[in-house]
Amino acid sequence: MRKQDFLKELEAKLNCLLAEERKEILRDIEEYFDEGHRRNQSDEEIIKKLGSAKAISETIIAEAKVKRISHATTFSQKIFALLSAFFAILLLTPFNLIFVLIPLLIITSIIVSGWPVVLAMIVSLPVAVILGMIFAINVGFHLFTLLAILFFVIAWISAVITITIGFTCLTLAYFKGVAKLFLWNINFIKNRARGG
Amino acid sequence: MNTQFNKGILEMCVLALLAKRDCYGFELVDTISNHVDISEGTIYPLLRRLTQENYVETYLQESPSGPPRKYYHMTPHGKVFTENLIKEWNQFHKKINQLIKEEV
Repeated sequence: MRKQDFLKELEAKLNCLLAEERKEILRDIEEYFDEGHRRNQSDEEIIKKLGSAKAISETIIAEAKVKRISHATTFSQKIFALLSAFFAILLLTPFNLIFVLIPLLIITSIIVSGWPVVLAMIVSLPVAVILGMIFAINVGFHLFTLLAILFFVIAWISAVITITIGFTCLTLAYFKGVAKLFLWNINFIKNRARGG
Repeated sequence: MNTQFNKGILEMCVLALLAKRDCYGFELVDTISNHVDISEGTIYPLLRRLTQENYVETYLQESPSGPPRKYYHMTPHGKVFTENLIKEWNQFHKKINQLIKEEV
C-alpha cells in the first residue's frame, strides 16, 4: 500500500468526525510519512510501523465518543452516548471482538430463545399429568401401565426441573458476566473522561 | 502485554519526554519505539487527547527541508500532572519490587 491509499483509507474511516478534526489528524499522519521519507524509509516500511488505518481510526473514534458523553445534556443523550462509546471500545481490540462480543451474542441468543422453551415445558407439566391420567383411565388400571405412566410423569418432571435449574444458573452467570464487562468498560470510559 | 497497561505507560513516556523538551511527532515516536515496542500510529490519538486536555499545546515550525513540523510543548498544567504521574509511578514501582522480593 502507498501513502495516498493509506491516507484515503484513514479519511474514509474517520468520516464520522468533524471535517476540521479529520483534516488535522490526516495532516499529522502525513507529516509522519514526510519525516520517514527524509530518513529514506519507504511507504511500506512506514505503514508497517504505523499499524493499520483501522486501528488508528477506531482509537480516535472511541476517544471522540467518550468525549461526547460529557457533552451530552439530556439523560437519553447521555445513555445513547454511553452505549455508543461502550461498543466503540468493545470493537477497539480484536481480542474483545472475537473472545467477548461473539460469545456474548451466541449466549444472548441461546438465553433469549431458550427461556420460552423452558416456560413451555413448565406449563406442560400439568398437561403431562392430566394426559397420563386420561391415558390410565382409557387403558384401565393395570399395574404395569400405571407404573409406566407414573415413571413417564416423574421423568418429565425431573427433566423440567433440571433444565429450569440449569437455565437459571446460566442466566444468572450471564448477567454477572455482562455486568462485569460493563463495569470494566465503564471504568475505562471514566478514566478517559476524567482525563488520565 | 495488557493493552490497558500499555496505554497508561505510553502516556507517561510521552509526557516524560515532553517535560524535558519540545518534540515533533516523528521524533517522539522514534524515541519511544527505541525503548518500547509500540504500534506507532496509536501515539497520534494519544497526542490529540493530551492536547485537548490542555497538557500540551502545539505550534508549527519550519524545518530545514520539507514541510513545517508540528511541535508539542508542555503546558504548566501538564508539568504538574506529569510530576504527579511520575511520583505515583515510582511509588508503585517500589511497592511492586518490594512485593516481588518478599515473595521469594
